[in-house]
Amino acid sequence: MKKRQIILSHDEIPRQWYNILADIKMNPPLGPDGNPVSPEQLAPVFPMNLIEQEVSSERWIDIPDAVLDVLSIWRPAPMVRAYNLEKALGTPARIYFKNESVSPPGSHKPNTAVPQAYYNKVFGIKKITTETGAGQWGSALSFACAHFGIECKVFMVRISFDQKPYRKTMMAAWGGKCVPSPSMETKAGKEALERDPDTPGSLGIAISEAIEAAVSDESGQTRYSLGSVLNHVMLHQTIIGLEAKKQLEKVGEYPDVIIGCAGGGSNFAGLAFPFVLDKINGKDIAIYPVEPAGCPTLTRAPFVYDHGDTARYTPLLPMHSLGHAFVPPPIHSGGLRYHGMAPTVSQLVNEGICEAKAVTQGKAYAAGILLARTEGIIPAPETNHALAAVVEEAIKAKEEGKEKVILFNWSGHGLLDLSAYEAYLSGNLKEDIEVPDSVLEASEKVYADFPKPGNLKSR
Amino acid sequence: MTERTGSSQDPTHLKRRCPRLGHDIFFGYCLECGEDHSACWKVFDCWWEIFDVAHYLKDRLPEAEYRSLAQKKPKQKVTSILEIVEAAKKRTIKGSG
Repeated sequence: MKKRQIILSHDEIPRQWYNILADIKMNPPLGPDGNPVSPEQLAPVFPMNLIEQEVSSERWIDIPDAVLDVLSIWRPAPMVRAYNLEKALGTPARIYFKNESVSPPGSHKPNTAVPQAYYNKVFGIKKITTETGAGQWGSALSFACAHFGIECKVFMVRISFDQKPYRKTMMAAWGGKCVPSPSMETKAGKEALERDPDTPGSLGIAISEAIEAAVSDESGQTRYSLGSVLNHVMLHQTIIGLEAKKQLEKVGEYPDVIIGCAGGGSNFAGLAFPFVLDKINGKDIAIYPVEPAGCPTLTRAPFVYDHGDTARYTPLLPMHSLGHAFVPPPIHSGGLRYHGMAPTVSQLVNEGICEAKAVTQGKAYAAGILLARTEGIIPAPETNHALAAVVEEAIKAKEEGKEKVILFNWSGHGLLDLSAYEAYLSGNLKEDIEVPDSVLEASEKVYADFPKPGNLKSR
Repeated sequence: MTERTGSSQDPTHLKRRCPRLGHDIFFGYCLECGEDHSACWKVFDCWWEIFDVAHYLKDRLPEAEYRSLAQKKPKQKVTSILEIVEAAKKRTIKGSG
């Protein structure tokens, strides 16, 4: 029998989180007035002990025992050698993953929900509010609040509330009170319902409700909680990468490639940041946040001379282009396209420490199915993007004949998210992203009278 | 993932998984779930690969609205939280006055 899992004992659990703000320079967040945000401005929404973590530049921050006590329900999380995937791909790469699907809510989210609930409790907070879509974050926070005796109020977007009955049941099982948003419990909700009683709601309204419920509590005993993007969330997630380092040390390995999916950034940051520290200190590691594929100007479009602008003012340049008449939304340009990303992750990409990768939907689901059939866990749809990049890297290692060590984060399971798989398996989904031929043909016509560049190679 | 449902002429019936909410939604929802019933700021990101959403929106939205949507970048999270706090405080004061 192969030894698949690398397990840390309970006394090997990391005792400190790694704070990347000690090692990178960041522009301060700006308030609505354009000035840097002060800790006091955040006080109505977050407890001061979490605000201190948000702005801290201390490299190592102790994890309280009470937090470790709860985390120890599923942590240290297993690291798994993906032998079956390696075999299926015939790759010489050695592939490892952190299995974050083993937490009670089934994802990495409680890694920050638990400390957030704890710090709120210590600060004297009795009730935490938040918003949720499908309910992954709401479930994690409900679970965490149950362990610290805090009331948890989750404003769940109405359309999600109706579509995801099991998630609200999960929240209720952990004592969380889940209400459909817009609700009649806040002024923001009432206004939205007055405008449209049948509204399906939106995340924007749900956030407004959750924040209003916190700041309007005159007792001062309610705060708001967010499960992604913010610095303290990234901090709490670093327990993933810190455990991973210890686990790889146990088997004498160190990763050449690190991969995580990049939604709001927290599961990627959790695995990658402790290794970013090594990279900053000279280690040679490729670190890839992975996101859904963007505009196809580089991958599918013809290589032509084109103007860089729609007005045709700029000189003709050789480029892959869908034509100067094609208007890709500017939000696709450069770096990580998802601007809801954690600023720390964006900063690392901007500095070239991490390199953003993009994969198509079809490849993401194909990889998810492959991993389900080889390693057994049905991945959360978000995780699939990382898995597609893992498959790509493993195949690359095979082509290059290199024994790379690839480490990735299996951020959650998809057992409550099966409808997309159902559609994929029944053939109702697009297999892959295709730029319609008509678009390409129309684009090429644009260049009929333009000179054609040669495919030059420098080396 | 994107599901091929409904008429190919009317993309409002196309369905895909919303990366923000975490479940299936119809394109029609994306057209109105943004600020003040406008389209979601990720509408191009999510749909450009399925159909020519840029031209679809350009044909239907007033020029200024299209431009604003295409150029929209979400605010930094902290900034938007503080804006929501200010709005909530105003609503609360207005309501109690």
